[in-house]
Amino acid sequence: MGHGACRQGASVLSLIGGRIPVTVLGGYLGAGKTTIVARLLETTTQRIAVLINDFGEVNIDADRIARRSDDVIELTNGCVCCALVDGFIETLERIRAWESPPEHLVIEPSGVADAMAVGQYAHLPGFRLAGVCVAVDVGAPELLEDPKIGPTVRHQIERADLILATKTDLLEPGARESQTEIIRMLTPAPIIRVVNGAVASDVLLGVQTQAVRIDSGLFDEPLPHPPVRSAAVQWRATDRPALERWITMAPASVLRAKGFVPTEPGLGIDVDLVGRRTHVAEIVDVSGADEGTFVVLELAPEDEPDGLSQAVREWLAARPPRSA
Amino acid sequence: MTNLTLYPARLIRTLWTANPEANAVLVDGDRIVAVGDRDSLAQWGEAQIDERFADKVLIPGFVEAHCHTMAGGIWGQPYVGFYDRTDPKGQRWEGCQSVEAVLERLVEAEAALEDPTEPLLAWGLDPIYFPGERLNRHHLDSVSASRPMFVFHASGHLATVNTAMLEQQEIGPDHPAEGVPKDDDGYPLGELQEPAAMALARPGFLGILRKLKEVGAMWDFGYIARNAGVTTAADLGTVPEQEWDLWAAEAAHEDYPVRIMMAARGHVGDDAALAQRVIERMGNGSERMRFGIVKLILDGSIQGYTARLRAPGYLPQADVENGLWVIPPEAMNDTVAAFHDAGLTVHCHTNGDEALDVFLDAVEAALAKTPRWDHRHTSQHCQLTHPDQFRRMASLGVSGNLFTNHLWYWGDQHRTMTVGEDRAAAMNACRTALDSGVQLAFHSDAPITPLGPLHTMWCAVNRVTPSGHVLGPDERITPSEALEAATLGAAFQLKLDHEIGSIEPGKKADFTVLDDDPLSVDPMAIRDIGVWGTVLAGKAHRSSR
Ligand SMILES: [Zn+2]
Ligand SMILES: [Zn+2]
Repeated sequence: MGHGACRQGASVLSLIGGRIPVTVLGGYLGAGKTTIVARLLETTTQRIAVLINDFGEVNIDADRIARRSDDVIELTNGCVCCALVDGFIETLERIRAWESPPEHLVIEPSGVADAMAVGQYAHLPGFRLAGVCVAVDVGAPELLEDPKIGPTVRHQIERADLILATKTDLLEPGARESQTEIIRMLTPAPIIRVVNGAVASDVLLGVQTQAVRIDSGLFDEPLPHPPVRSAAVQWRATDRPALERWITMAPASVLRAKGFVPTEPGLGIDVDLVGRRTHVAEIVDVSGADEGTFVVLELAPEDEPDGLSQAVREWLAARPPRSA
Repeated sequence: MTNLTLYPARLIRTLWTANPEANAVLVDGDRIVAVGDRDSLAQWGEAQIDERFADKVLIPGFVEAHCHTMAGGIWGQPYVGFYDRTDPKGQRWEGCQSVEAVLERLVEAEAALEDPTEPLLAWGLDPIYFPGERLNRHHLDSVSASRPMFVFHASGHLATVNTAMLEQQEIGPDHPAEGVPKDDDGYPLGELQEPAAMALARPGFLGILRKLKEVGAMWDFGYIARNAGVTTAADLGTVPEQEWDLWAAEAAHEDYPVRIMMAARGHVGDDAALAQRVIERMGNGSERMRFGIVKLILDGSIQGYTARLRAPGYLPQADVENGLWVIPPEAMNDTVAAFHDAGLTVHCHTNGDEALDVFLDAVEAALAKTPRWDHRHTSQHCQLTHPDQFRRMASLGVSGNLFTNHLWYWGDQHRTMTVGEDRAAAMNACRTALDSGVQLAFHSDAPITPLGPLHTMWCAVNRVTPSGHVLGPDERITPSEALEAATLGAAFQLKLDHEIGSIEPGKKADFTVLDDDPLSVDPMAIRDIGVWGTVLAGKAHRSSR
């Protein structure tokens, strides 16, 4: 699903409904993945299932899940000699079959995993990829040059939708800037500074439409650190090519944009942007709604702490016009 | 009334230095009582005489110390690979040496399916041998436009499907997944890369996975082992822990034709807890189901450019910086120590030389912390090992289970595509290993290459590639050394050499029954020796070949 014409409702909510969103949180050993997940589980109101380790056989059973209050599941690896045995798929199927499926699935793959490759499992029926975040210890830039592990870490960074720069608080501002710059040379993806594992769940998991006030204009809603601004717009778009062109012009500070935009009666376009990666798909609008909701999340500009950046405002204003 | 059975044979190679050759072996139930000259065995009193091996050659039962039991279940679907191969029932499948041959095989298989909705699955395709046009959905559509099809490649990393499968599973132009290459019009070509993409073709990929878990697959594995003359086989970490009991239940049948050593897969959760569970299992193993070794996978494969190499790495044409780690190198010390400290044996997949360095560092650290004798930790594949590494392995007491079948199956590709002539000549360097004092075995990694110790021996002895090139002739070993590696050597690595691996009084009556003597035939004919079957714990199992 999520491709071709499939039966989906018009609202963002119902788009999410039925498919479990999946966030992959990658990064090398010591990058702070576990702290981020722990913090998320502490603060979230959602039912989140967490899979630890990447692909492979499930070593869970009902009883083990029951013993773990927060649905943290440890996975065992599959085989690389032969990719035949892939228990990860079975794990996902089991999760989908849970009596009350989780509202979100977080996968914390092994420190050497290609997080984006793991994220491809989220394209299986019943799931959707909410994003691939890679945690990077900004205080350990030498890892990038390490002869054994450097290529692995660089590859993780290059393929990430969003970079979570951790342990920045341990650095002098000068060092922080120069080391963040090293990451920026590897990827155009937004870099989000993370202190003590705290990342707004809207950033990590995607826009929680339930929590966002929907109106037809723009509004700001400061979130806990790192400072993030969100905005929701409702409109009816023109044709798909115009929308696709427009979405690729999103300013670099846009972390996420997600929504459903009706185009003509009974049809609409599902837009999903995470970092620099966009996906646009045509879907059947069974609700017949006139307007869809489109939510944008921006990393707060330092010079404009109270609102969306000028660039994003202009971008939103330039969105393809309502159809006649 | 005696229970003794005397088996006269044309020749018995015992692998017991004190009595290396014999012409009869005396068996009591599942045990060997004596071996030697037929007349000399009379001192044990009366015995029933079983003449069925009178014109055969008996050797200790072959031990395959690294394969995967899915080698049985994969035959749940038709074979479309390049080389001839024999299925568990003993049927020879001719290799499909052209795209047309692949399609012909599929047409036959399609015609054999009665239910028009049943997907057609096949396995073993290796496009590396068809340098022209790559198989895509259009080729498969010519076999069937309506029945979903899924052709699984030999590498295990790719599959090709037809348009009916794409449509049924809604894998269209909009599909966001990686690993779904599209044609110029944006429509999927039909190739699905890596498991996440292959799984999109659910009836195909999951259908194959499901068949691997069926009871029939467990027996098919036993038959494949028996047909190759293997009496003990180690599954190196691909049977998940929750399925061990299912395997144990089948292996408990008196007729089950092979002993299985089930390796646990490490670094997938709490290693110390896993070690304890393995130790518990060791206490209640059975005749044909054993535990006690742990598999780790540290890097990838050489032909897939994912093995971790020391400098200078892969040939420039490969255009890769280096391979992939499966376990973070920094995590290796803790992981190896967890199993080492618990008294278990670690078998670590290390294809590349850099990966081997990391494993040896971890073993050395574990030994420094917890000195331990006779641990028998083993490097698996161990393919690009340098002389310095063999010397270090010997001094650390690390065994080498070399992947000699690579010399034949990918030998020419290694010369020209992966590491180049000089390092290809040094691959699977059995001579250097033995001369360095490294304890040696070799393996097939079935189903990656066909299970068959005579073939792995043949590779170690001849080092010939399909193009007729001899890879590093000075690394060849003698047939006698090769036979030891395939029996006693592999048994040692599984810590079973006190029970199996040689024909010696008190050991299990496990024999491989051959039509000819691997030590006196032309070395190039070793792989062609007929396998009558095996004797496992005193019970004969006739090959179905
Ligand atoms: Zn392996
Ligand atoms: Zn293997």
